[in-house]
Amino acid sequence: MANIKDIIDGIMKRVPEVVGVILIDIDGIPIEVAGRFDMKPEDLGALLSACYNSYAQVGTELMQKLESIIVEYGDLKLCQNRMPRGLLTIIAGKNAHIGMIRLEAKRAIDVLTKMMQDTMEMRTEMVKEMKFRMPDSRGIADILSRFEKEGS
Amino acid sequence: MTIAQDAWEASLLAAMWHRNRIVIQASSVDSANALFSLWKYMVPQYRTFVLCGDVPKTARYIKGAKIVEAKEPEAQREAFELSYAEEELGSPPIQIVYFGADPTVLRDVLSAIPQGWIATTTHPPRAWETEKTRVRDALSFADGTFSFLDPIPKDIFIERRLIQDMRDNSEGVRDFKVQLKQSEVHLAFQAMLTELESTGLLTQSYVSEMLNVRERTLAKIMAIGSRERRVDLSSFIQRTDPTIVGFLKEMSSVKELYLAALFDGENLVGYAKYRDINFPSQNFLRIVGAVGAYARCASRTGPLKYVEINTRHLNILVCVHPIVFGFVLEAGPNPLMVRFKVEESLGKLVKAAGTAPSR
Amino acid sequence: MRYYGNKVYFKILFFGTALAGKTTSLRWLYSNVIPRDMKMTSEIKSIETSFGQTLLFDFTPIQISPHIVVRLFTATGQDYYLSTRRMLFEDADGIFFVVDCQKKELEHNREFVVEFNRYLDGSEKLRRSEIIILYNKIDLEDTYPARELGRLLNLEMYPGYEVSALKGINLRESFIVMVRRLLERLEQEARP
Repeated sequence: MANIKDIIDGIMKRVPEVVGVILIDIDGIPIEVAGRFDMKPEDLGALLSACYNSYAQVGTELMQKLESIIVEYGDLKLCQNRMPRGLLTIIAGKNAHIGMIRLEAKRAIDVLTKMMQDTMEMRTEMVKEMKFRMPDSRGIADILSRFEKEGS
Repeated sequence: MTIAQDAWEASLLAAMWHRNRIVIQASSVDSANALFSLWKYMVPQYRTFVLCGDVPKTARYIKGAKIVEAKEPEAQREAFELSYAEEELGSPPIQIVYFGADPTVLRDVLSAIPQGWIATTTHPPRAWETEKTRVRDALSFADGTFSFLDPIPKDIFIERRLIQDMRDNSEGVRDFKVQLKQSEVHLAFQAMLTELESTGLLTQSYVSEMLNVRERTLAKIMAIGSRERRVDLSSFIQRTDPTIVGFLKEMSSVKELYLAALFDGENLVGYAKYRDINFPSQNFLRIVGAVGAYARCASRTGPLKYVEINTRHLNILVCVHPIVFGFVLEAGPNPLMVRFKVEESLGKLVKAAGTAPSR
Repeated sequence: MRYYGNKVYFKILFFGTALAGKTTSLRWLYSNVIPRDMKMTSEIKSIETSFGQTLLFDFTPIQISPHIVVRLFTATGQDYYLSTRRMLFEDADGIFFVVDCQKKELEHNREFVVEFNRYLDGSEKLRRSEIIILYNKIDLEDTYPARELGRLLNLEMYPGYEVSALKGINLRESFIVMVRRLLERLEQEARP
């Protein structure tokens, strides 16, 4: 069964002009990244989220919910699409056909939305079952002691 | 009411609103005064009434009216001239009404005031007409005649629309609608004056957006404002370049279009609202500013060329050429098609204006 | 807090008036308190606008354990970017409210307290976040002591520290308290 990574990689394979695809949560946390960026995924996620949210303000003024944005620069094109729990951004070269990218985004969103919902449920289960390694009191003390020692 | 009656009522409204000089003549002073009373609601109420002559009781109670008690023509003229001069110091525009004027008053007293007076009389024009008080136009009824000493304003579309709109209204509603429109125009002119005091120069597009009026209405506001405040703002309002006007007109063929705005730097140099929407044009500049800010954090993006923001019912397009062109459209099944149409027209505009259209 | 992949993400926000010392606090912590191996990026990312280079926000993520990431943001103090500021408050787990202790800044601080309370009133989630007040510029002349300013601004109910962002006075301590609280909350949540 395909996972989030497969879906994202699939877009890059089908549209050669696409140079990167990034799926972030609405707050900018990178969930899945494909392609090469000259920024760390964390920075990129924060940037794309802030970017999208500032456009959302314009939509709010029109009393409309923002669905997608397309930005074309001299050297690249960017297509951001809202999802119930995140934001899918496709970055393509300047010669990419924007209609094709829109179509890819639309297809991917339907699948990813369902997939992210499943993942969230699985994660909740994992937390319950303690499969995440949560820090105990000693773990917390260790982390904090590093802040105490650093530079002092 | 007939179409012909609508037309002369619109002319009468325009003449009163534009502060034209009017002489109402009837067989008796009472009949002439009654005609004035009947049409008085067409005089803007923010004006200060300056009453003189044999002022009837009904007129004495006009709110804020000043009554010139002097009987001597010389003293009356001085009183009128003084009130008229006070306008230049910022007092509200005056409306002189002289009841029962004889030929001497018309020839020697009122003729000294270049605008803003109405006189009732029993004397026909031949008894008082001079070079300064020549009748340009007249409307005759069974009860009397309105003689207009200034040409009836040419563009009276607002007046026509108002009269048509009030056709079946009661007296009170007609009064309300006329005063509302007149106050709106008066306040719009005030707003322009205030804006100019802080900026020194405005673009026509900016004023159109600020006041939410089209070009023709703007011209009307300036025409009436210049008569009342005696300030001609036309040299302080930069007119929209004809190339841009042509472009905006061409864009009206895009049926999905709500609004178009063009900027030169931060100046709004072209603006047209095709359908009702509340969207300040400054938002387009905000979008470009935000995109620029985010792009600077990334590298190798190249210059910004185009932004499209899609909501469920509306699309916002911003083209940077490098002048900023912003559009708000109804969301349709094929935004690309609309974008193509917009860009085609834009291409023509940029070509027509050389590298970039000037203001 | 948010869970993605095998990580938990916390968001800490520095909020306060323009020039209160938000960016200075974050930079001091980044340079003096965050160990190199925890830094996920080589520098703090600053996002600025084109007009006069006004700051939109600063951002840096740190990985404090293999499964825990803390994302640190500063919110712009410029009123023009109020919407950006509001957006940053969403899903914040911890808030450092940086207050400028200079007497002349009292009214300005009050405006931000009003705004802050408005955000809290509108979000149950935000009311549960960890809030620490940083009474900054305490080393300058003509300032209010923290206790008095807390009373004047009606912020006494929150824990506070007298700090100097420029000199780093008490920043480390307040940061450790914030992280401890977030981790203890995580520990409680994970406890069966």
